[in-house]
Amino acid sequence: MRRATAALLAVAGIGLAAPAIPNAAAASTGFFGLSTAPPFDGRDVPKMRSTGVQTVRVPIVWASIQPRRDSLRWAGTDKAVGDLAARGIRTVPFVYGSPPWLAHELKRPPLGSATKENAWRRFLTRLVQRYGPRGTYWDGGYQRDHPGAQALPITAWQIWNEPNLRAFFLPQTKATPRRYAKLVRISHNAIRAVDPGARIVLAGVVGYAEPTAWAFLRKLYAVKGIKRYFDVAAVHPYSATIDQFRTILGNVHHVLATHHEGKTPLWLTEVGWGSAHHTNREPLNKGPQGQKRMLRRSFNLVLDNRARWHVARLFWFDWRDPVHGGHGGCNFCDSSGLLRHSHQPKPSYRAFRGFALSN
Amino acid sequence: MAVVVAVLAAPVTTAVASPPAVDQYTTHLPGAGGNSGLASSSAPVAQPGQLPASVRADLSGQDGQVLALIATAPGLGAPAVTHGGGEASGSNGNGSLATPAAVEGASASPALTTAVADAAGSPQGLALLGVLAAIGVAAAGVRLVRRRRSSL
Repeated sequence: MRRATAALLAVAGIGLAAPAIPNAAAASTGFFGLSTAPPFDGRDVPKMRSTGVQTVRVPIVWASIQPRRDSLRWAGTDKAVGDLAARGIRTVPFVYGSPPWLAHELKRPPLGSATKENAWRRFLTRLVQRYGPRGTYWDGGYQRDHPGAQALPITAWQIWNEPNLRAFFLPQTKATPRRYAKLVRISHNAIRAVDPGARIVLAGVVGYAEPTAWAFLRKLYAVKGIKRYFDVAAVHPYSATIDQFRTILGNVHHVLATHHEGKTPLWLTEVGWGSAHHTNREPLNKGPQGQKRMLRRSFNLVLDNRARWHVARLFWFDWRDPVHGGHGGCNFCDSSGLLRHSHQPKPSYRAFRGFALSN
Repeated sequence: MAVVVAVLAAPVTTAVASPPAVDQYTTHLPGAGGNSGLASSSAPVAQPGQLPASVRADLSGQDGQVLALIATAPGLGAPAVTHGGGEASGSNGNGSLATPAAVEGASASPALTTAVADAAGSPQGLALLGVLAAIGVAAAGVRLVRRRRSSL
């Protein structure tokens, strides 16, 4: 009886301590999420939650956590993962970025030597041991920072980012899909050794790049046995028009259907357009109303074809505009937020919220 | 893309990737209003020299030119070529037309099949296949008319 009473009190305590989630958010199934990067200020996470999102995709940059071979700095990741979880939002990370003691650049994956590959395996193992189910963070730092809050372990791990772009994967050669496949296999084995139930998500491939997303995936599938090492495919269908958006998803689905019986879930881990002024040189910038229009049209297109294309998640990129000039080399990224940097909502914010609360 | 901000925000002082010089998200987009799926604005160019001599010999006439274009133009998805023995046609007359998968050691379909399949996946490829079909129908029509005339 005493145990039962204690259990009831504990449950009540968790209930009282848990943050209030808006009723409307309860209707959300979590189909729509956000893709953004910490740090978050005090207003970001509560406002994200009020849109109904249940998952937020964030980068976990290996070089930031382990800048030296013998040091691990978890504070920034603890804060991001913890602040989101305390508001009922599960983190979906993509893990990326070789540290300086292994590679000259972040975008050179840890392949080509046992030293690099073992260091990556060890890092992934530590990540899952910390943030996965029964992870050490949930009973330690998380309870200290968010007493009584419910744990939301990370259960899906996205391996690297945009491997068909020079900006994220070097070198880009004909062998890149095969090298990426090796990274996926190594990562799968390391992560599953700690959490057998973890889902392995392929990096989002950019639709129109060299090679295209579908060409890259076709070459990836040509690597014998690769299907065993991932559970979810991902694409970033950046496009100037809805026709291009449709073409990317149709072509990617065709490859998945051909090689994987069409059952592999597809996540759109970055979908976005900028609200900056549209020009021919910046075709992904659409102006504030155009950004809202593209959001609506693309979301409706995905919802209409969700079953056919096996789309299981869609993450909008970005949540809030960075400080001007924060994103070098990407002319729509400075303005792809739903909010301006000042937190002022754009027209796209209301549109996103409408979709996320009801799907 | 989110990673750029994360990296900038992170207290890492070394090994931070410099931003790409060009916007890699838009470099390969089809032209505004277009839906070509081509990587550049230049028209696809056939490279029939990459084909084995025996295949080249079979590709005569207008439809042969179209087939050669599909099979060898990188803009239409034709695979890159690796040269065995120094030149495309090779010392024995059989060129080394390797698919990327073959280069990587995995099983692959023959290059021509791959190229046609690649091309068929794009609007250009479909248009070209449509042209081929039209040529075929026209040729069959001409043949039929000739037969009828000769039988009269």
